[in-house]
Amino acid sequence: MKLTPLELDALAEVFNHGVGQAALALSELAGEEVQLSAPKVEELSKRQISEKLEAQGSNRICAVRQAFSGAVNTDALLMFPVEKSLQLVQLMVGSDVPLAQLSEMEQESLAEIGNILLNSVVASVADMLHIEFEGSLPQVEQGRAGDMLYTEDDMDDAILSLQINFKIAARQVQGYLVFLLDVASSEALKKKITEFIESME
Amino acid sequence: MKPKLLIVDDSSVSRMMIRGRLTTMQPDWEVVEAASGDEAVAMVPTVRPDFVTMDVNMPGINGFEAAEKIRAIDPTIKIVILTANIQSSSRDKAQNLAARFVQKPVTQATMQQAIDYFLGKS
Repeated sequence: MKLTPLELDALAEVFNHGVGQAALALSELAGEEVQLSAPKVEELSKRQISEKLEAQGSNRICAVRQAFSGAVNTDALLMFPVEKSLQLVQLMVGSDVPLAQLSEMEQESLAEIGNILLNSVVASVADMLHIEFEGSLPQVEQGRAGDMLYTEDDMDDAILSLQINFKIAARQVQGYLVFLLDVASSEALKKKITEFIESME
Repeated sequence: MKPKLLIVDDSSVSRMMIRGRLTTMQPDWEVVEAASGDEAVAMVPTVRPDFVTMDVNMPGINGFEAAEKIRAIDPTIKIVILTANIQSSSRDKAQNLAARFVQKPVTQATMQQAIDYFLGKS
């Protein structure tokens, strides 16, 4: 699937709106300004995406994964360095909770943060493109980016990747949101984007 | 009798945050918790809550289905759908259930919206 420059622009615009919603949700939690990058849209193999993600820093990452299904299916991931996970948990529950108690809450807090951020983006995409998504329960995983994204059998499959980087400078927390679509869903998304563009004309 | 709130959320952290905010803002309310929609529906006949905060995306029946079942048991219970699933379709489903839609994260402001609805102020 090849997206035209206009379609890429439209896709970025739709996700940009979602990014704004996610930034708002995260800044409400953090009580701090959150910087989010414009979405980067790329068609790559799973292997290439894994290599790119691993090249961005931490070897071991923590990810919150949520699958969304509908006219378009996507695997959505909130990814950040493992060593930053407790800072993110503190965003959620407040800084006055003791460290020992924070560790106990880590998995559930991260799942909830992922749930809020990923849904913020997906809801915006859903409303703008007129797609209804059903979301799975969020799962928290740790490991190498590659291990989370592919198995030996499908590492060369082409997918559409949308990546958004976020940073809360005051808390030295950063990470990224990634939305992965297989070929069939990329085609379905392209169709929805075409309809979106036509509705603007 | 004290007003009674039933918090329905599969995330114990979310339940803790809702309870924490609520007990600060309405210290005289009684608070009970359910970790799933099914558990909430089973609790309602005996617990008899006045108000419910309901998550949507949970194991078992989802929050909308649970809210519908709770409505069938007691139509006077006020329900707030408190969720990260902020798609228009979710807002529409909440409206169809005559429930108030409030979006996560759980903050002072979002809990105030829920409390105002429960107390008939909005």
